[in-house]
Amino acid sequence: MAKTLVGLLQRHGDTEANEANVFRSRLDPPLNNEGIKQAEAAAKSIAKMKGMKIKKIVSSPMLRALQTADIISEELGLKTVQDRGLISWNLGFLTGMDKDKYKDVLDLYIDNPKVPVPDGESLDDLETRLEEFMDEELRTEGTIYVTHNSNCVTIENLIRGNKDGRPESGEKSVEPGGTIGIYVDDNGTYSTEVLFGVEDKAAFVS
Amino acid sequence: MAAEDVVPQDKGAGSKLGGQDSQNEDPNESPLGVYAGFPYSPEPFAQLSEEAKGALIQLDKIATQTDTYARRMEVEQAWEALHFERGYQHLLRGKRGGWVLPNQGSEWGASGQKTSSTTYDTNVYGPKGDIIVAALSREVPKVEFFPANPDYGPDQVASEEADRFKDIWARNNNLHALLVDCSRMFWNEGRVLMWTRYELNGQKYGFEGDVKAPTVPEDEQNPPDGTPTGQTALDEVLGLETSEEKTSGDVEDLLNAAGSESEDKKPLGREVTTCHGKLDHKVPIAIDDFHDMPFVQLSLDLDVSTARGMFPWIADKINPGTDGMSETQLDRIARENVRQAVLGAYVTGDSLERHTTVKFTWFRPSMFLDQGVSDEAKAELLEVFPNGALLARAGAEFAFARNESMDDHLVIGHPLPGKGQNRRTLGSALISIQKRINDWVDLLDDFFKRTVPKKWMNAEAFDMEAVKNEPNVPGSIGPFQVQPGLTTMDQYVFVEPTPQPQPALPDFIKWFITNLSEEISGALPSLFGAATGEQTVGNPQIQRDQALQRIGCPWNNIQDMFAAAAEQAVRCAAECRDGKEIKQNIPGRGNLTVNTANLLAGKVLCYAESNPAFPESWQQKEAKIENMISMSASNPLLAQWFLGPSNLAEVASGLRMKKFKVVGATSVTKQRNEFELLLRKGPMDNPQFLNMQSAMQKAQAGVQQAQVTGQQVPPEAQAMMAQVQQAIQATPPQISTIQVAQDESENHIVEANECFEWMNDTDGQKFKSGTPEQQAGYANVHLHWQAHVAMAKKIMAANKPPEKPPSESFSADVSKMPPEVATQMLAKMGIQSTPAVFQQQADTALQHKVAGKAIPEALKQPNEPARPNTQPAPAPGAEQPRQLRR
Repeated sequence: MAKTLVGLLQRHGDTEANEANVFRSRLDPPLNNEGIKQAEAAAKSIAKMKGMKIKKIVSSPMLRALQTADIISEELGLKTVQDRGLISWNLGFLTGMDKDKYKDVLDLYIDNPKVPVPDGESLDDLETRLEEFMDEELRTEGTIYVTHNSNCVTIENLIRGNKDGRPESGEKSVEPGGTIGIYVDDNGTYSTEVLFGVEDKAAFVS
Repeated sequence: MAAEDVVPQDKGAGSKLGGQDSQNEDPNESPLGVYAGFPYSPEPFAQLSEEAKGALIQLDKIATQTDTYARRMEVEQAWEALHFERGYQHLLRGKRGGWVLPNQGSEWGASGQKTSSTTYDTNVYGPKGDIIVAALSREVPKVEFFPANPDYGPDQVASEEADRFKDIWARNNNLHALLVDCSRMFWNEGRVLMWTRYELNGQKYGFEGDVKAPTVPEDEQNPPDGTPTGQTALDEVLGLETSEEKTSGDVEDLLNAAGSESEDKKPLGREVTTCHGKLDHKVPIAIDDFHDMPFVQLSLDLDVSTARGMFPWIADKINPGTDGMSETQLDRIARENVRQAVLGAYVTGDSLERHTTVKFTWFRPSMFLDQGVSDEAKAELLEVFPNGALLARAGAEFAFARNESMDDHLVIGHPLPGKGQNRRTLGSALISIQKRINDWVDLLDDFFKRTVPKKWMNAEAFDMEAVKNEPNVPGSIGPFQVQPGLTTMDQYVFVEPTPQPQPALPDFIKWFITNLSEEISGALPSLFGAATGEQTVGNPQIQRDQALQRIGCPWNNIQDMFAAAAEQAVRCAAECRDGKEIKQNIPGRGNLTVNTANLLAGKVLCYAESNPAFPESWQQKEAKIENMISMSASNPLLAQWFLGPSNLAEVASGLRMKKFKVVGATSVTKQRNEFELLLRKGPMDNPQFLNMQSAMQKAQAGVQQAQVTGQQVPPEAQAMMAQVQQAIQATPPQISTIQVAQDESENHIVEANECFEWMNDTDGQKFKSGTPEQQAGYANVHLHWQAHVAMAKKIMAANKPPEKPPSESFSADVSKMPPEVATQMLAKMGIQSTPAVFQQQADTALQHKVAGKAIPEALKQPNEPARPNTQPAPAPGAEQPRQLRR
């Protein structure tokens, strides 16, 4: 069945916080050198890409995402629009904590998606926010959504219609700076596919 | 008649303003309130002998010159506080009174700017005042009226009227703005004078017979010929000719015509209350109690044209300026300076040249006993002004004097207790703190500016002229000759060591700005719920209570002042509105009608609401309501009354959700509005009852006639008469003046409930055993309640679902019966069976039972595969994973 590319999910580049293996959430670190290189590579790849005319770039307001978006927008000659719909999952008190040490705590909130993380938001809240945002956004084609790994994982969950992906649990939709294509087929069913960057094959079993 | 009412006056005979020849100098014959607001009273303007008039002016002079030094001091203190609030804080006392600013430059040009920039204000005083004012003005004080004599009917009626009137007064005066004014004056100036009067003001409230100018319909660009337009109607209202008619006219004639017409206009009036601070009013400072004050003076600086409009009979004599006494000059400069918001004691000359000081002085009769007043003048003054006198002066001119008691119009309040009239203000303790904050912040600022270390550079190695001309080098640079003993590096550039500021100074400044000024002013964070210091359970609550106690005293004083002003406003309405009705729509109360004749007939007392607790903030109210909502979830009794329509409207209002629609709330409002009509008169005769009674009388007359003539009365007619008699007995002879709907277009249950609440509340009980008129009003509401209840029952009966017919089924466990009995039982129910079938069933059951006990668990289904560890399928209606689809 023929499918059409309608949008790109762009994961921001690497930061020191990624390297430190802590929950980034609402921490606002800038891209490190590696992250900048990743964003530049993504920008070049997207510029050469065919199959979809890119009309706009929407980014999470977090600095790392905005920097990534700016690098891409410079390459494409488009302006970046900030939207809080794409902001990272607010992990409240977990923000800045070691991911391995607090894995069990995070699992608790993933397995109980209605329970909000203290001082933060629940997984359900994140899903609802992203569902409302993407549902509205995907009505128009040709947008690059620059966002965070947890958001990429959740959006892919929403597209597949299941909860296989566990955001922030070490599972990656794609490596930092990677790009995922969002497709739609003739029946109106969405699907995703990693376009640029390294896919974490272990992440999903559809 | 609207809330603004025309005064019963036949004035307006005076001719136009400004004409020396035609100006009528008798105030009783002059138009009042046409050109500017005028404090009206039905008391006539006094016709005094020259001696008595001179004595009155002399008494005014004595009042002005009393307490000269103390007055100057209180003016300077209030003036300083008002400057401080604005942020003009580097003030030095001027030699001749008032304030000068150090280093006051023009700020034009570089040198001027540099001079002015040496001092800055770090305004802590003003924002702390904002906190106190916000806390004090959370909610307008509530006042209640009571009959002066609870057993005297006219007093009871007057108190009811006054209770309605207070809402009109509150609406017309924007009491919240008045409360903010009063609170701010408590903070800066301390003493507040509240002046309540009936103000005639055509410019503000319009004139009798004014109509709103119609406008062109929005969907019509070219209205049909003859459609009135806004302009023509406006011209009509203003008494001007239309532009077509005007072309041939003489402009002077037109103005003359407008002038004479405006004098015939009758301006509308209102009861007005305003607040005035220390700069505006003067009282004898050493007197503790208002009722012992022989005089009170209030000065207003008005544009000279407004002053002329206020007193048209002396318009051409009024000039800019004051009464000419030197004692009033400082007050005037202070008022002008503060209102112009200019620095120091500077006042622009143009304003002094335009403004006339209008001074109202109230005297108690005791003032006429002053030794400077001659016996003849004394006798005349006491006779003409038995209640005391109000003397009005415009500049140096005598405007009028009339019999008026200051107790009927003025109330004086202080934020804090004390002796005399110049007491501590709410903010006065912070002034000295503020001065030191400014000094120290300036000191620190100066330190940072000046202590960029100086750099010395080797004059032989560097081109010093070029370096000095470089504009972006901070810190000064100087040349030096190589000195013995310096290191090689220091022989080229030597930087002085950086001085260190007093390490304690920044912390000290911080302490002054935060904790100390909060403690001293009472503007504590806990006033609005935030806790400071130890975060223990209950600590924020305790701190908030303490903070509220601090402002409890000023709050109670504000309540008393508002109650006194409300009572004075009622008296003004009673005396100035000529017994006419006031009708006004008040949002939230509906159409209110006040019969001012009833206000005049009785005496009322007014007190602040009996609950002395400080008003809660919105946050506190919301928290309380939210708490009750969550409690009502587990408490059905609480839920029942808390979530009733009457209370739900309060809940929605408390949560600040104006557009939140509460089922039944509109019916509550409707019923409350109907009370207003129901209580005006008693029930009316029931027309149905009257018709039946009339028919019965006719029938009885017919029967009598038949008996006289010996005719037989048919038995049908007798039966019909008996039926009518029964119907008459079942029909109420009177009904409520407001009929209830005979269908479901009204919420009968809610409205009946509201009537019930009212009847059993204090108001209802008061009416039940009040005057005959009140009892009739109560009966009217009672009948209205009965009608709603009857209709609600009727509707409930009509909507009741049909009753279920009695069940004919029965159940019996045939398995426990012998097979033969079971067969017979089923046969009766139409089910065919045989005893053998039952026997077979019983045998099989027994076999299963035996097998269950005999076969071990391990032998049961040995090859059954392990059950897959899967999640059970979601139940119908359970939440499904979301999926994005186009």
